[in-house]
Amino acid sequence: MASKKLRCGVIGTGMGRYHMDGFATHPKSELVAVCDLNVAEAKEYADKYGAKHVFRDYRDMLAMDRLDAVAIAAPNFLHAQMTIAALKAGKHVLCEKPMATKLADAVAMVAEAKKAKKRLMINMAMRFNGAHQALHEQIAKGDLGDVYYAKSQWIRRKGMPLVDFPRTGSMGRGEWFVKKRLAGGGATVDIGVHMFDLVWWLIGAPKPTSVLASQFSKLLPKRVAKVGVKGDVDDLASAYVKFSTGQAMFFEVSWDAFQAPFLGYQVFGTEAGARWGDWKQEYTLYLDDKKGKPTEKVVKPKAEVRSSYWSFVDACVDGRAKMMASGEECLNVIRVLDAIGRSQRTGKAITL
Amino acid sequence: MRKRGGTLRAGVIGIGIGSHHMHGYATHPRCELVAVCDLNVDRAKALAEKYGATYVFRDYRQLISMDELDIVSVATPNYLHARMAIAALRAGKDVLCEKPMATRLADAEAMVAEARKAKKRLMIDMSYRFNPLQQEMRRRIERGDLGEIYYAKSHYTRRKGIPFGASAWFVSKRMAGGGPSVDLAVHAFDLVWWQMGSPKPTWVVGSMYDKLLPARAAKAGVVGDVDDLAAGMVKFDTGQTIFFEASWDGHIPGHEGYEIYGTKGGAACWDWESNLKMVQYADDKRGKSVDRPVKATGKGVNAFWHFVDACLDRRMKMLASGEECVHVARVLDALNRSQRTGKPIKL
Repeated sequence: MASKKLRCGVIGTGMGRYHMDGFATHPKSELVAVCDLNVAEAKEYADKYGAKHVFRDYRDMLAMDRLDAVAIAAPNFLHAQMTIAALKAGKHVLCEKPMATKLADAVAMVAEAKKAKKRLMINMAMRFNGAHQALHEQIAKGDLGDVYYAKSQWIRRKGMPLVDFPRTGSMGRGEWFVKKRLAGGGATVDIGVHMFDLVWWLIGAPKPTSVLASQFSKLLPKRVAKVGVKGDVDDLASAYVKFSTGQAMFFEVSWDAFQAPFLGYQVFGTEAGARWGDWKQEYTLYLDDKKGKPTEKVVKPKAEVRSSYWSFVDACVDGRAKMMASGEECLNVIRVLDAIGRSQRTGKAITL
Repeated sequence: MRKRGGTLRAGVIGIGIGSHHMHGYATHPRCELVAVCDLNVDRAKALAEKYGATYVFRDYRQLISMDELDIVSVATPNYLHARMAIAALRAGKDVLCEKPMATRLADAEAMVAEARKAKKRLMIDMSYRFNPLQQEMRRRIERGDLGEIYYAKSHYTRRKGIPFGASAWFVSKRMAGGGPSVDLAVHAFDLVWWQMGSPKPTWVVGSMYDKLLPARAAKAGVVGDVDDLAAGMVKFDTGQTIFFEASWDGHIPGHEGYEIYGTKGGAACWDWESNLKMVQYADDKRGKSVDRPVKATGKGVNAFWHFVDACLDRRMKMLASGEECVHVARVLDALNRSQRTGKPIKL
């Protein structure tokens, strides 16, 4: 099978369009199938990327013999069901974040991947940005020393799905975004999971031990009601997480708040600190020079890195390739998100 | 309380931050500074002269046993706060004590108990609350301009800000009670907590680190055994939440300021120590985002004048009473325990 390309199918044309592009671009993969309830749109994308098969029902797509891998970009509440079905059908799976809307589902997905002996990767796309990749390497090498504390923040002002984003774009489409049963959460799982995962991964993916968190839905209900939708998810989440290593992380995310928007992280190390923000392709390192004077250095990583889609294809094509953002690793993130929800519901701190 | 023509007589113990207290008392129209106390008698004499105080002492017990004295300020190193404040309250004086209240929670609680027993005023010098912009924001929040305040963050972090120059006691756990987890966190936490309506804390999870301080202290020839960074989250019985962080050093540029989140608007401020700036975020009638700098409408009084006023008028509501500030001490103590035990702390 070495010369044959990895045959990929994508379920969902929302975020799925980026998966399609990724599969169509990698020299070792090709897009062969697109599935969506909106068949016309599925066909449009299939034509664009040269995929021959168009489906309305994902189960028909999974029944294809000549299909090796599947990307799942359907609404959150379908992730677990589709992933497990795809793994059972013998396909590798790249699943959109969040893995699942319930911790138990995420656990089941990981178990199925192990049983089916297939790759399960979660599309933690931000990790693949060159800047974060370079910083991760520096941290792993010890350039920052012992990394003890970090902050991960994504505060949007007027960045709420349905009301602040155009309905036709890939972001914020569909009322499911603001319904707990369908999305699993609001800002926390939509954009929060990216920033939490990113910084958690940077500091070494440590094991969480306690979480104190709050989730608020103070602005969302009124705003989505204005477009005739009943929404019950969080518009802001804030959490403090302690890890078994002694490390700690502060994490906050919001779709909307009466504050200046802010996107960035800070990582505190004993030898140096690092700061990134605003989608920049660079980060700043803070450290002391030989005389002990505080200095700063802007790092602009040169190396081009592979996208998450590329990385997934590489991992499917080469069974020995180390895969980033595996379902097993990302399960820890779901554990924290679950703890955040429980901390809010019970009003208590959660011990993991 | 004996008064001479409606003027209160004040004494100050401690000539460091105490000099601010002296200035406050000396400038209040119905107060006069009459006594100054410090181990450094020469410096005490100089300040006494500057502010027109007649009496200079080396031993605080002599100051507080003065009959013709109504108010005592305690502005000595942290580990002396409780002992001196309690003694002064027992001697029948109203007491203004520097922050933090004490180095141990039990001591802070003892101070409050003594004030209640002695029926005397006990206030803590939470000076930042008295900035005219903070007072203005508090008025706006009370008025409902920001709606319901549900969340706030407060930051008081420094890079290369370990106060070696101040005195060796600052970096001694026994004498200071802690590093920035006490020195800076008390301001950072108190400010947003007070703005949020001083709710009752229920849970605290936090961390304290001493990654940089020990080596830096050794280099300065001092034994340092306090934290250099502290951070934590606090939940309240109202559902409100506060995140705060405080550090003297870290390889990240420092930041002083807070962000307050309300259902109708928000506020942010920065540069507490120098030139405080504040902005209010809201939507206009058409739902468009508007940011407006906050300008103080009142002139505001400083903490010292507020204390004198509260001592003159016993029915006046006093800000930053010992009773109120002991909640802050509880939270900071919980942060400490959360680090020591590695567990969340229920209050």
